[in-house]
Amino acid sequence: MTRRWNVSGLLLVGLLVLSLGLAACSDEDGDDSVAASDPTAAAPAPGTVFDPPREMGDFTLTAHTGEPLSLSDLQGQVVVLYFGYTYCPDVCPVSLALLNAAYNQLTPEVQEQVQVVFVSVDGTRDTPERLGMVIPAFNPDFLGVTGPEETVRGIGEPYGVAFYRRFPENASPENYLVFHTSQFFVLGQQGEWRAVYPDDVSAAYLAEQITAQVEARTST
Amino acid sequence: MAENVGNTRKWLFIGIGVAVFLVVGIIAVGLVFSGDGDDDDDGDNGDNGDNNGAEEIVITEGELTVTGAWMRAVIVGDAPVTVPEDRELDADEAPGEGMSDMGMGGSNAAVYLVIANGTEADDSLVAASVSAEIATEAQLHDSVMVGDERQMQQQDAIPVPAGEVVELKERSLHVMLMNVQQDLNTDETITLTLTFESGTTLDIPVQVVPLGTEPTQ
Ligand SMILES: [Cu+2]
Repeated sequence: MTRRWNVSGLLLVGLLVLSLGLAACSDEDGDDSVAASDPTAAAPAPGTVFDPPREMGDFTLTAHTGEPLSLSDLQGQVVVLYFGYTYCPDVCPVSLALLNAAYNQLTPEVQEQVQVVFVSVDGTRDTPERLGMVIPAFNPDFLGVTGPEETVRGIGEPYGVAFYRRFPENASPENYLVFHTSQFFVLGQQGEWRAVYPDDVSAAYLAEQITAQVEARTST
Repeated sequence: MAENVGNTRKWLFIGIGVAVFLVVGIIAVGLVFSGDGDDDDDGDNGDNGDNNGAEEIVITEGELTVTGAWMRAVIVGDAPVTVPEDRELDADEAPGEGMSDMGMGGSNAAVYLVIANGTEADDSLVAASVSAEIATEAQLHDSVMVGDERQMQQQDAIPVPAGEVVELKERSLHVMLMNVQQDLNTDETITLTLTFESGTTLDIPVQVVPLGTEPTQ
């Protein structure tokens, strides 16, 4: 339902902007107050694209295969980072399902140039084996990486990622929740940070944005 | 005079602009509504079928109904997860229990459903439960944004006013199964018991869908 609204809504906004543009262009006096005074025309697209992109440091964690994995190993690919944990009841499964849906909407050529990486903020419970059970179940092409929580804290910090444990009432102490930043970070071929998106964008929109980043780097 | 002509032209152009604006606007609005209801079957991968079909929910007069209950698969795995006491808790990690070094690390899982209150009395969902083999507890939760973080907050009750439909859905209200004890695989069905303030108790089937099922927007 809302997906249709999104697409049609974009179309609507696009057409309104276009018609406002026509009105503004025909204004000989160069008085652009017509366009400028309509606040509804500027529905912002969700997320932020950085221009220029931001240089980020490399990091090394353990992949769900058991092998060490550095961000620099993925050079040449557009990387989509998501920070979460596999015991996450609601937020992460929804985000991973969204990433799966977005990934499945990419063309095979684009898919080859994209790597989705799930970074665990719960190294205590998220062993490589645990990640290996869960992450490929969302999508066999996705990578899960894990490591000591303090290491991951340092990796996430420059992206504005924060996380901390919470203990729900009546839950056993090992059954804690981890509250964490929930966003999609898109990195370019050199590991540079190119864009960030909220976790409630549509899969179609995210697929579009990822494709644009892949194409941007192909054309430069 | 020349200025007048200029002004007239200016207003004419603006008029045309506004007319175009209205016409395209109307067409676009038409598209929005005509697009409704004809492409529900676009997801091949992880299609959750009618599980999120809140639009089809009908309120049955005189009845409190719960429909369309679903959840994503849960992978508990078979190996007990040992939780070592590997670090001191931060001050904000209240209430300060230490990490236990035994027992299962619990998998929690969210259940989504639609409650329609066709009765003439306001009601509230006050409790949920599943069999002990499935999970140790079921809680009522809401998921709210705090800055960039989504936080889950336990609810004492979820009000369902008379004549209204309340959706428990992703990134919003949900029933959370705490410490799930066994794998719940795609296409399985579990039974969830819901208790309402009015005393109504409903056993409802919850369909398990693939992990990768596309979220509803
Ligand atoms: Cu919850």
